[in-house]
Amino acid sequence: MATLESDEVDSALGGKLGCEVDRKKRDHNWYWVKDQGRYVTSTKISKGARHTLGNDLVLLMARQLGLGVAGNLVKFVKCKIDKPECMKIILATYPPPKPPD
Amino acid sequence: MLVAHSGQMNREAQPSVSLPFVVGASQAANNLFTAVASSDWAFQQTANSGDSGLFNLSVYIGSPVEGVLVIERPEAFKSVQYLTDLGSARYSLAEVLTVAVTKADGQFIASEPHRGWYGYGDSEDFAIGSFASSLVEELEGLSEREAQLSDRLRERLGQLRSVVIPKR
Repeated sequence: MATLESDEVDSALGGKLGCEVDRKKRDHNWYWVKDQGRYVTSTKISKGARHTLGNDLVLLMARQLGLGVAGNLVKFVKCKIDKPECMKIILATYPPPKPPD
Repeated sequence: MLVAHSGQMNREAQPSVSLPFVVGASQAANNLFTAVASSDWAFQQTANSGDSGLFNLSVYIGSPVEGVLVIERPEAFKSVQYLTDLGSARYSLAEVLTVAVTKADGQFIASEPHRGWYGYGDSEDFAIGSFASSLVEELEGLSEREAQLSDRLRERLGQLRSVVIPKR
């Protein structure tokens, strides 16, 4: 069962993955993933006290990020995969545009 | 049974979330799920028309809402809500959104699976409120970054703009 704590996801996305973190919105903190100067994906966590993100929610966040399955997000947060590996999965889902011929 | 919710919510753990005007109701008996909703919109009614054990297929017919909702995890399924308003001073909905509410690991999750939109909270009301505010916040976040969006996020922005529209 994949569960994560909101604060550990916050620090993994904002720190290790280097997301641009937008804390100015009213109800959620937003995490924007950038690659080569463009935003490729994003996800969010509800504001407020530390809370546990259950398996279903971790799956929704992983899908939103382009990580496919909950296990990939868990592995990233638990430091079992690093940023390059994580970005590789995300960019496989959201490939960069091909340069014009 | 008809349940209507409106107003402001408060909770200790999280800041208050404005609740959109939502009407909905549900009754589960003998695997039959029904939901009705009535507000400014015409009356709607849904009936569960299939349950494979692995997923639940709900066909709903009404005006202006009709369609098919597939619930992937029927054991966690709580209700269907029709979202007619976002509870926002600046934005309204261009269409009624059909939102499935599930409960798992003590959390309520409101989701529109076709477009991957979701929100969550400690209760159905908070989950719906989180769902609604997520739409507005994501629309604003994407709009602020519009010049630097990937094709995928540009598509997502277009999808949101077609549903979340500025109030006149």
